[in-house]
Amino acid sequence: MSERELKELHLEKHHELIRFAFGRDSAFALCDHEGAPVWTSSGAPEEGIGGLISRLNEAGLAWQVDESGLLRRELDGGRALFYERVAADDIGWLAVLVERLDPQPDAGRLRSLSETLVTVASCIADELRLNFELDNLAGELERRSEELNLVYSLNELARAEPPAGLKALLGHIALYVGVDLAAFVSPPQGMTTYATNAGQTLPDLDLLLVEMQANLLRFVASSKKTLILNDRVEPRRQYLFTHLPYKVLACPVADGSDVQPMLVLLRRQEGRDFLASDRSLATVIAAHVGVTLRNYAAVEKMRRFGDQLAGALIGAVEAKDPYTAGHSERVQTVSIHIGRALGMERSDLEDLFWGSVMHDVGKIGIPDVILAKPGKLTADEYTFIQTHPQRSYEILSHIDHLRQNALEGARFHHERFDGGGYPLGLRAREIPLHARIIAVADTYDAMTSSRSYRTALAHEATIAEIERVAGTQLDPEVVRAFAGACRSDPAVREHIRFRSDRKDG
Amino acid sequence: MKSVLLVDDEPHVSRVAKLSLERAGYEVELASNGEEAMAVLLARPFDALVTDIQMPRMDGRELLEQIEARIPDRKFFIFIVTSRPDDEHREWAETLTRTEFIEKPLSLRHLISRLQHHLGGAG
Repeated sequence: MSERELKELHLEKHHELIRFAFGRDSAFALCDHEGAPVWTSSGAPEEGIGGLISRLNEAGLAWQVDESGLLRRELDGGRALFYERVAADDIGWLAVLVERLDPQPDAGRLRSLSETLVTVASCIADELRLNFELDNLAGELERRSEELNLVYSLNELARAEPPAGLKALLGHIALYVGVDLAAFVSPPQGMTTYATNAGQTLPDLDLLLVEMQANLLRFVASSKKTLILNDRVEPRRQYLFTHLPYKVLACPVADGSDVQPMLVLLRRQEGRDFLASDRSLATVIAAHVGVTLRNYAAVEKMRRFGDQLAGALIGAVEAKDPYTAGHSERVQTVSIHIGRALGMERSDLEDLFWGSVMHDVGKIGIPDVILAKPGKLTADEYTFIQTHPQRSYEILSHIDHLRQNALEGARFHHERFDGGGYPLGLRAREIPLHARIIAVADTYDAMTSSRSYRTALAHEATIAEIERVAGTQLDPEVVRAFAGACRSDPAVREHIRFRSDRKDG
Repeated sequence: MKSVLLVDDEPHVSRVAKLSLERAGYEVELASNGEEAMAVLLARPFDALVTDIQMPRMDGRELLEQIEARIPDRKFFIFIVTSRPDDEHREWAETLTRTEFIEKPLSLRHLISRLQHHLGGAG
């Protein structure tokens, strides 16, 4: 019996009752089924009542019925030992040592004392049973809560990015199933995501990771069946898995690829066997992970398709004017740096990305002779050029994925802060923030690039020039953020310069 | 017996956790917010503190700052239970000693295992 289990019996209270019935100086002990003291009111089991019981045990005198039919033994000096059976797993007897009963007890008194002991014994047995039941319930509650955590993390997997979500899921699997290592191994490079039980360290972890990426992965992927290796000596270990002392459960994950990834659970050899229920659970989880990965791959594929389509459209515009090759991407880079410097949120940055990278697609409708004309434009040609932001807006407005911020960013990137821009002549804060940002980025890239009508400026000179037109052409706040980011963060400056230099050089 | 102070504003969470930790051999006391926890911590010693971050009245972060200020020679270990610790939390946590983050959803088995790791076994 553990210290905690004894503590929960509140034996002091029982002792109090016994002292009330048997006298203040009576001692109290609990013994196991062999009669060995487990707990005594005098503290140390080898002293007082405990020592006495041990000596009687050795002499074979304890736990016998006396001539009056009671469980009682009279000792020298008027002392007497009363005892009673306790019907519990770990406790077999309780005993009370009385120094001297006063007055000399008659048969009735002895019977009533004996009944008191019967009551105490049954109380203790009941308490032990209830505590045992409570232990089981607490264990069950704990198991259920791990089960819920596992279900939550399966759900999270669908929402989070796979690597992080997968790691959390593996952690909960390890805790719920009770394994030392839960891993997801994906071909072809054997990329492995794993979690150990409660983040504990495994001494042979590296070896285990390498081992499972080899033949085990190949075998499970080709058999398409869940594999269990429980026995230490097992012929398949020769070619499947290491001789390291671990039990193995490996389950293929149908993610739609040719060579399937797998879910692996490893438990130290001394732990329990993997059972059919573990196999079912792993199969269900693997199926879920497979669906999630397939969805993720499909989304990823569509995203790439969208990016490439956008890239093709931008390429078509830039092909019309050799001077603007790479312009859209550079404007996008600078815009994002400004957006970050202004503390934009992720979804805003995404809008800014699309608005900036697509801001010039309207140029597709401008004749090449005007776009690539060397020297000054006529007034009519210039008017024609000025239609391109509105055209960009019209083209982009057919794309559901792009939100209003992105559309406005493209539409108003030629508005001037002082109201002298186009297409609407908006001023100051009337111009959407995204457009004010793209205007700064567009101006920066135009100045640092060689155009048909002039040569490029250096970075520092460009920043100075941009600061000069802050408040007239450009939004001073946005300019401040941009110049600030370039000055304070060398990484930003290098990134932007590199991109503008690359074009020139 | 090692003692643990558990701070959480959701009573059902703390009751289940208390039951579970007691079965694992820890003595457990509960507090439902930072203010209560601070009062208990000043009144008697503990071996570990397990606290949620989001709580009414005094949240976990404020509680930890108070502990830093008012119990400078803290001996007990601190576990902070939080959903997805972000970078700001991580930076802050790096300034604390004898402190560990535990991610939500709280796994009782994980918590017990970490308690055993840092407190050197139960009992």
